[in-house]
Amino acid sequence: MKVLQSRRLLRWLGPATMVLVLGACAGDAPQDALDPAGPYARSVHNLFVPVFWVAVAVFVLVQGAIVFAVIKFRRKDGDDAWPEQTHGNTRLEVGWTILPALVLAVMAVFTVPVIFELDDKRPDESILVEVTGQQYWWAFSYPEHGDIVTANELHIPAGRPVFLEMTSEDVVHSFWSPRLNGKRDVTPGRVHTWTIEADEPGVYSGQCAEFCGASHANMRLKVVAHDEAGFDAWVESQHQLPEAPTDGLAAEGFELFETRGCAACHDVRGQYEVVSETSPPAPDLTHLFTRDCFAGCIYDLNDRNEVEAWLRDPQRKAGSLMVIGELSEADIDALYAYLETLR
Amino acid sequence: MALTDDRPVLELTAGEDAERREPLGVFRRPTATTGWRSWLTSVDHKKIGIMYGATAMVFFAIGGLEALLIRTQLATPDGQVLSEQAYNQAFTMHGTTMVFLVIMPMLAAFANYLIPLMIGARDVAFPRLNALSYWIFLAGGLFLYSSFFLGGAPDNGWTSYAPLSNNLAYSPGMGQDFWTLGLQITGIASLASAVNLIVTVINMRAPGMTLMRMPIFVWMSLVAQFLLLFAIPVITVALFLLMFDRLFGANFFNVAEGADPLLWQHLFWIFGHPEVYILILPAFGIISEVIPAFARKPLFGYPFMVFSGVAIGFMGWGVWAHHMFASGLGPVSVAAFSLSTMFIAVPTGVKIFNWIATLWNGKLNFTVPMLFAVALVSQFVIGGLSGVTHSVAPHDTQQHDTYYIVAHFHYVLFGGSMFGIFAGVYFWWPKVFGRMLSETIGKAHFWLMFAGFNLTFGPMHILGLQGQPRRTATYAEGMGWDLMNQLATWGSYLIAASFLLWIFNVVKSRANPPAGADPWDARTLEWSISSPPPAHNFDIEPTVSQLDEWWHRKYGEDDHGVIVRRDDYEWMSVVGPEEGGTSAPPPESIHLPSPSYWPIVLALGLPLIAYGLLFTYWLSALGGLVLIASVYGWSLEPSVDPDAGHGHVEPDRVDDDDDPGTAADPVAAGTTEEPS
Repeated sequence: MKVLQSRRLLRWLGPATMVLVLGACAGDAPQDALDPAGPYARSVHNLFVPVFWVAVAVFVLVQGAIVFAVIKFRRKDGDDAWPEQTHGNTRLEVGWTILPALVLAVMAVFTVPVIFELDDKRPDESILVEVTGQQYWWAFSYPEHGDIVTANELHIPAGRPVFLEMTSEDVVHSFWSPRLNGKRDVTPGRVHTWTIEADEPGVYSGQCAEFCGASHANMRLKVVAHDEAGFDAWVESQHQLPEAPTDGLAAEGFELFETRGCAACHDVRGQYEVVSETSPPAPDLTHLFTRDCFAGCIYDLNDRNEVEAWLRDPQRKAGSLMVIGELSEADIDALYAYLETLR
Repeated sequence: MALTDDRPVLELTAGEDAERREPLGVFRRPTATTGWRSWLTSVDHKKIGIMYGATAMVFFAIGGLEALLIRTQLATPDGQVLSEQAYNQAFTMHGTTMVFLVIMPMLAAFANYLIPLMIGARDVAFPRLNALSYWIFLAGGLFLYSSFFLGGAPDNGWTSYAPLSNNLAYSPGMGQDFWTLGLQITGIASLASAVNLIVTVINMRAPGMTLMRMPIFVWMSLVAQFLLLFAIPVITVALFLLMFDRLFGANFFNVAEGADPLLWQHLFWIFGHPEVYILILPAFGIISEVIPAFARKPLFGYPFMVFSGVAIGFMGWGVWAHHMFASGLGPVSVAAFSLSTMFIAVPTGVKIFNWIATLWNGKLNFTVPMLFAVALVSQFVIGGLSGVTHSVAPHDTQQHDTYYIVAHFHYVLFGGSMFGIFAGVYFWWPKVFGRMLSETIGKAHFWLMFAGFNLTFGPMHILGLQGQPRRTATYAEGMGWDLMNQLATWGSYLIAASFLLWIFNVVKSRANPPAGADPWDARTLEWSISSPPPAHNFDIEPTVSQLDEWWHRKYGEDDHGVIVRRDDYEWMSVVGPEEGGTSAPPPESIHLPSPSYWPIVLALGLPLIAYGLLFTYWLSALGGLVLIASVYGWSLEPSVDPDAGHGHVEPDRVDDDDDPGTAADPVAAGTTEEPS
């Protein structure tokens, strides 16, 4: 009867496992490490897959042995005899010491080269991007492409490795866009390098992976991969500086941007330059409205309500350092009108 | 072997020919042997063990509530139950609590209660130090939790990475200071306890109990105590530096002055990884006692189990940087630690196989402790296998700091340590309290916890690989994480329900009939005495001739090689007549260490000093005074005082001449040393 119970349990476990596995596949997971989209992520993934199946095999064997033993060697009611008192079996034990060691040694042989390969120097043909992590947003600059600075959205050419030189202005962060490569810490006082690459144009989600304070959850990023022509066009567009508005609501906003102190922290190249020894304390806004998201990539820039809500209360994102004070609705309209010109 | 020679019984000259001193005239020596007062001043390892266990269970409930908050927040995308800061406090305190205030003291509870009983000793080597350990642990825990009422709890994670933690600009509140100081306090408790238990095991084993006749739980606890002895100083150094950075403007982790933030990470994990084995090895020890008892077979490959435990203890020091594969260590370090991490799986695997071999061909009796023990084996396999995948360093950069890691270490620490702890609690409950816990409620508790645990942490493997980072207070819609998070949250509620069943079981057990001395027909010496054991543990000092001594005293083989129960074995304390066998002759006069106020007073000084560092140095001065006075009071107080409570056991029967303790002792190994 007990065995029957166990079978019933197994019957129940089967569908439950199916639900879990199907649940894993269902739905679109834009940040899925199991769905590599570039050569670096793929070489990491290719290392994982065989290890995963070996683990599954060990899992099935060991759990199978446990379940078998549990069912088969259960004591019958009223059976008071003692089983044979085995104390051990040296040959067997040496065997199951050496066997796992061999399996692991094989794993090691495949793992070590990839460790060195991934940590290699800057790849040929790669573009260079400097990454700066800050509480709680990302700055990206392109030293080999002229004066390009952007925030939270990393634009890259598809099919070319992108070499990242990363450091932090404050605490330890970690750069992670799982479909393009694993993560690498972004640490103050150190420059860590990391290479990502996307096969195809597209948008790849990512976020800070090392706990960095109150809004750690809100320090996200997007990697936007263009085809070669699209990337060149993007670079070109970033070199076109927006003109300062001279009349209308936008001009009022342009004034407010300075009087309200925004210009003390936000760069708008050609209009307001922040004087700072290190990188500016707030995101570069020169081409703000060419982006899709803002404030650590948690709000949609295309949604005017989100932008206005932010101007009303920048503290809606925990730990935000932005201070703007009370704004009238007219001020907000004016500021929005100005920001919209930053393309 | 106990330290053996012909020295006379070490007996302090307390009593009629010694003049009684009132220590410093401050306190009258405590005399209570019952009631709450006896608990405050007790130096009895059994009472201290119970206090450790009870306190840890309270903290388990608190840490569990924090976990429920976390899971409720994450049940849906963009959860609004907690603010970011409250969430960060919840996960920081959840982790800190479960590691330092639940599993460590819970295992200390087992070690305290069981080690002297299992090795046939009357108490630990330093009973007052033992009491001090407990009170310091409690003081540290309460100090840490008082942060909630004094300006906010720590919120930088249980790893508190610098420079987030050391720089007042990034963590301006006092929460981080409470964490830094609180853990230094509990660290003192762990160190004192480690020294005490190591000396106990080395010096106080009964005659004949060689190291390779020690119960496996004692072995695993011994390894864990050595790990504590060497790991706690490392974290203490780290905490000390952090404290100086925060309180006195030092620059140990100040990047602006050229410090490298990786220093904290190295220090933390050189402690942190051995800590993992501190948390799991004693639980391995527990189930290595439980499984043989209910498989009705000896532990398969005892020497392999011992040596694999010791091997894990050594290798555990060489794997810490696998917590830092994403930290930018450089490929050579990463490769080295990747290899060492792979190979620590070997001794762990040996244990799994040996447990299964112990089950094999046994006659398994699925009592509640056995259920928890077998579940540990099964769940630890999952945690172990995911651990092996971490050792593949390139892919660890995908797993690191995600829910995959959260799943992994919960399979190790909850599916492993906590299940082992519950196996032990159900197993030794009748020994400790003299009553059985209900098997029916216990089974409901087990199955609910088993289901809840796997439902909570199973889906987290998938979440992590799908890219959900840990320690994030919220996540956006459309990331594909909704269903798994919901399942995990339901699972956590099941765990909470199972905990309530467990409490119900405990409360109800008070009405159960007496359990008897040896209800499970078990194998080690603690089952040879009454339940609960007498204050002095053993009426006669047991003489040990083999592993599983008690079982071999009860059972022998008849002429056909069939195992039969002997009828001439002797209980080692007075037990009820219904137990079979005969009871030991009553003890000669035994001096036990006397209760003392000093441990609790001394422990009080430490949080005072810590509060003083945060609020006003006057408090520190007061705390320092209390501390110094206690040290003096302690040293001037004789450890054994026949007039004090539970210090002296008079024979309650006088009917024999021979002394079985030595007469039956072929090893003629020494005498009981009085603990001091």
